[in-house]
Amino acid sequence: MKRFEMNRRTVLRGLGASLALPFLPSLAPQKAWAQAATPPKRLLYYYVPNGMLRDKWTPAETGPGYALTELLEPLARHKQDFTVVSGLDNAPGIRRDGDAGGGAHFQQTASFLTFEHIERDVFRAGKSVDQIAADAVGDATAYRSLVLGTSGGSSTGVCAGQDWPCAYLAHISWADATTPMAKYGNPASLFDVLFGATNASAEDRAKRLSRKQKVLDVVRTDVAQLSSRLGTYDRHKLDRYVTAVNELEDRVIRLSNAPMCDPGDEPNWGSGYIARHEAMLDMLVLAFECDVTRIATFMTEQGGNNNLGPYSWVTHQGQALTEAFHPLSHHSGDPDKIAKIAAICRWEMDVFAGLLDRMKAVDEGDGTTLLDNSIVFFSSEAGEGNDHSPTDLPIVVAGGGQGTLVKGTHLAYSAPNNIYADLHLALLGAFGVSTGPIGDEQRTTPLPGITV
Amino acid sequence: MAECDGAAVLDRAGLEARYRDDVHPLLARPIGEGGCADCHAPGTSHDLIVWREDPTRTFEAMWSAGLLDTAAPPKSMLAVLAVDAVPRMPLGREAWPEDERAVIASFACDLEASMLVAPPLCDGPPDPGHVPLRRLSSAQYLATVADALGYDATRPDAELVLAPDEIAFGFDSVAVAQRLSTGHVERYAEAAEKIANDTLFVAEPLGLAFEAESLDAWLYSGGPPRTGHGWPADTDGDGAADVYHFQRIISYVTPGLVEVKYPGRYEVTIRAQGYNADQRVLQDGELVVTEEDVPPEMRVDFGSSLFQVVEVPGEFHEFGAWQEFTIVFEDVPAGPHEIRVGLTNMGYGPNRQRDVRLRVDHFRIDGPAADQLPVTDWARVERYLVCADGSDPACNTLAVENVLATLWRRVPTTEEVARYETQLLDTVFDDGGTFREAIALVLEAALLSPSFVYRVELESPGAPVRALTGHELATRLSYFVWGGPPDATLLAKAADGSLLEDESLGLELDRMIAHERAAALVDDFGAQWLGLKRLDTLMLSAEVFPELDDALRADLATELRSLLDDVVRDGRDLRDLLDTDTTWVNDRLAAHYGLPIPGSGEAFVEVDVADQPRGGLLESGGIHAITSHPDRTSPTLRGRWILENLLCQPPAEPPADADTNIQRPDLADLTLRERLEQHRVDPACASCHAMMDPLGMSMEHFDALGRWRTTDDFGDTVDPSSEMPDGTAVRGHEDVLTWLKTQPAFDRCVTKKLATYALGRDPRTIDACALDAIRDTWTQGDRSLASLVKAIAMSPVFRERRDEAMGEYDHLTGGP
Repeated sequence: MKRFEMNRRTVLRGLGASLALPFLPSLAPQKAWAQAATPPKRLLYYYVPNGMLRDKWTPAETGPGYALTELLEPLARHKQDFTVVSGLDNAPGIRRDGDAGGGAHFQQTASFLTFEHIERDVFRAGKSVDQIAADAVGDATAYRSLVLGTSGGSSTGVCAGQDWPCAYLAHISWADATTPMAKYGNPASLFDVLFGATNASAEDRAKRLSRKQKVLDVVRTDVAQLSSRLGTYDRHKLDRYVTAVNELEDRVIRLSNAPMCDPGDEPNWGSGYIARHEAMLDMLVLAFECDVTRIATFMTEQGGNNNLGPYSWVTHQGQALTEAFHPLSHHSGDPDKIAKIAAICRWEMDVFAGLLDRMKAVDEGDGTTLLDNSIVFFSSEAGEGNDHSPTDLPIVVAGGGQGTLVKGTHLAYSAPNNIYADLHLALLGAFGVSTGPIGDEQRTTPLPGITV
Repeated sequence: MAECDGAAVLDRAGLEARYRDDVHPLLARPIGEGGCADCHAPGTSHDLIVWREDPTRTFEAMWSAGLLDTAAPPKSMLAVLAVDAVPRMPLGREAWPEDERAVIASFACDLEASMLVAPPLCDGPPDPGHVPLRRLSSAQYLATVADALGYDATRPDAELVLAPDEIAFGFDSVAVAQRLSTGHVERYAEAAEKIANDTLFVAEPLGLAFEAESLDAWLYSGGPPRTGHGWPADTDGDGAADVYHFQRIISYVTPGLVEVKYPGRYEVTIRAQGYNADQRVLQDGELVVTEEDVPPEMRVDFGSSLFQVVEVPGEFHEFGAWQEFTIVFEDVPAGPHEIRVGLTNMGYGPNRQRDVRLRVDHFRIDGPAADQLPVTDWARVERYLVCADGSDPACNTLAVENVLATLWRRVPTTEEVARYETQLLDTVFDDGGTFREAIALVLEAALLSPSFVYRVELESPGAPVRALTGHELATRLSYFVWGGPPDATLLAKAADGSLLEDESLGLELDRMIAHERAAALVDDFGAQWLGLKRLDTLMLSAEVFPELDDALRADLATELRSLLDDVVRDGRDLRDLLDTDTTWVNDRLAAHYGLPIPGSGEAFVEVDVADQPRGGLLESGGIHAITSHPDRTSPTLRGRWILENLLCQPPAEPPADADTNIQRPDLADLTLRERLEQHRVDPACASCHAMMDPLGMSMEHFDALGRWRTTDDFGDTVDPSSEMPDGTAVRGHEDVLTWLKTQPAFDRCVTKKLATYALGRDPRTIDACALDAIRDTWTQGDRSLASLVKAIAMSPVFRERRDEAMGEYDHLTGGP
């Protein structure tokens, strides 16, 4: 892979012109989906850990005339492109009588997109909404969905002394009730994976495809032969292996047939946390722009984690923070802690605003932007870090969803119409996916007011 | 458990009756009447899920939860009664009345006696348990690839990405914790492709030789006038552009370009001879000698940006002797490169003349340096490339068989070999590929196959418990002791069955433990047990601890690894880890600790610290660092580390609503000790902090980077004294060391940790009687790690397996 010391922005700005259909060179530049009448819709779930500060988050007024609060202020330039949704509770994520102690963040995080009640001793969450969407439309793209995050899958130490499975804390995306989706956390390897194979000639691609299919065939037979000689649990594991191999094959075929998208030279990734975080967002936008996938989840770090070190990339009163987010988030009203949390939350919102900037900057060729065609869900596993509860969640729904979403307002909900899972039904609906009942409470009715 | 004289040894029914009649009525009082439910009612943060109102169900639940397991929830009956209920509960409330306390204590004694002293419960054969398929951990995956292919994926630029390991029970290889998602398989597929490609197409060292006799004519012929081409126009450096005829290039070394597949250090070796001449410059219409006997300068270009110039001294107006020049190019980038050799200082023109000449008769290009290749030992790859062009079917079969047998740690079946051959070799040959491409595809498939990714042990219908086969045992042994695949000797003993016999297994274990690969016991097991991997990524506040840099992180880790290695290698009592008279420092770490500088520079040397608070785990900065807050020490975290890692008694997490902050403004005037006292106010906090805080307080003389200090983070004089919950006075960390060394829980904990690592099992599912037997064997011997490894490996739980029991994993799969 070539490496040039180039400014990443320059590279990305140049992208629009470098997308090409190799078998129709005269038509270049083209979007990968150029044959379709309109650009596709994209769906993104964006997670930040440990809740927000409710007092500094929730606007006082409802409706289009609402005033931005301290924590929403970084989004000011996008005010007409998102809606603030307040008052929703993820009831299944709330601790119940009889639950084992110490698991609040585990329960909330694993419930974040599954709306299941999580228990310590039975390893079980549920299929997350992004994967429900991927089942419906994932086959249209090389990758059914992208599962991204800024800290690796399970982090060493998280589970030490805690008897809750680490997986609950580290994953919001679940393929099925017992299978969390592994995350990509390294932008350079993600770039290679997404775009590494796109430079071959058509003939070479055909050859690669047939060879790769043979490899997968052989492996599939290996699995089947082995499986027949194992116990139920091991067979269960290997069934997943086969499923994964099959998905891999689908992808190889789709990649091989897909129009090519030349992302340009590999960017200079820089170093440090901020650079990596930004690079991951660049890759996310690039993947959407090139139509490598239409569905993604993005986890900023993870919640409930005392071991991730200080949030030293965030400054407060000109000083780098020396404390980790989670212990801070239990602020007990301490003004110093609250000020530090506010600094973290503002940083989170700045980054999110930057993501919306990037999405707005992508011209989809028909006069719309990537943001116009996207549904971007932003929230955290807890409402307010201090009380460890998935109630009154801090939610922003951004993007237009191709005209399906209400924008530029603050919608406040209250019981009994404040069901968080219902919002997700509405978003899936806007994305064009219908599903059976979702979550622990078997919800079927989309939240009113979200879509136009 | 001091006064257990006269304890009765009972069977299960007897124990249950004792519990039901004597103990349960005390524990099961309604809420508010001083029983367990006051604090542990269902729905509270510290509910005891095994506790039921019905004594039979409570006993049943406690019983099935694992009798000896004090570490894992649900807490065992023994732990609850012996550790919690009698000495510590109820905390912050009125203590048990003395008569009730005696009843509970007496039952705890009976329970312990029944299980430990005269264990009627352990009279059957141990249950070896079912071990689900174990996936190779990342470290094991890399070790296996390194062993089979010489492929070093730990190189920083290898960029091999595997899905992160799931850590459970302190280790990265516990089978039931190893989830498998599409993402994992994707990463395996990417890795397989990359490894196959790197090893077969990138890693072969470049060794190109070129004969170049025909080139010497070029070297001193005048040639046409030239400028540019990236060469300096002013070759003599006088500031004026050269005007004479200028011939500079010899040759391209290949017809085309040299393809550098792997960046790194390359060497160009050239045999050349020089021809010296005077430099003459036109002055007043005459050529005057301005410099005598100038030797030719040879310039070697590696690609468009790297070049070097060397003098090739010859005789005056005569070619000198042939000389060999080795020119080293650091950091040659990957890609196609033009290699050129030229003469830079020859000139011939009306104004100036310098008639130096150069002859080159051959040169070769070697590289990259062996330590820069992704494959450190090319011979291992070469043995798969034995068939020249794939036209010999017998040779092909052998090659495929070789790849599969090596990667899969077993003999492949004829069917497997045939299938890989027809599906993969033939596909490549049919589409015009080479034998090497075909082998690459076999390699890729073999690496993605479950036979590589998993350590396979087959079910054995009809015999629920069976001895492992030789190959299965060899694999378990080698991943246990070496962290990687078996070697030829081990496989041979597996094949001839001798590994299954006690005596030869013992001898083989001795060989394995003495082998250098047993370093994995330190680097993999030891590091995971003690949580040392956290040091690699440890971040403390840069403001408070600006001295924490990568060098110090590495130094702290090296000290601990040296300690572990020393105790393990010398076969010393593992309790020596706690306290030694020596430690390992380099000059930097010695300065950090304030020890005399050993003068060894970067190198670590063993130094005597008998009269210093150094030596042993609790006096090592690495441990102090991983148990501190970013900006200060944490007695609580330090205590927790001891309980969790050395005693296997991890405290519960704080309740969800607990305020864990001891830096609240309202505490500003308090000392650390007074702040920690806050933990004791709430009984829900006190039960754990009563254990953690005294252990941690004893280490307050060590700051977050392990330096000795007399003033703590709050500006007060350090006072390391405190009292353990059982009343033991602690004056400082030396007392904790002494106390730890006498704790039976330490022996049990080490046994359990190593068994968890060895078996890849949830420790709750390991047969408690078998574990006790292993511990007893071990503690009756020299108590070295080697002996414990042996005791585990010789035990039936390691050498046998049971088939999966019906419903055994329903709690994990959500089934049936």
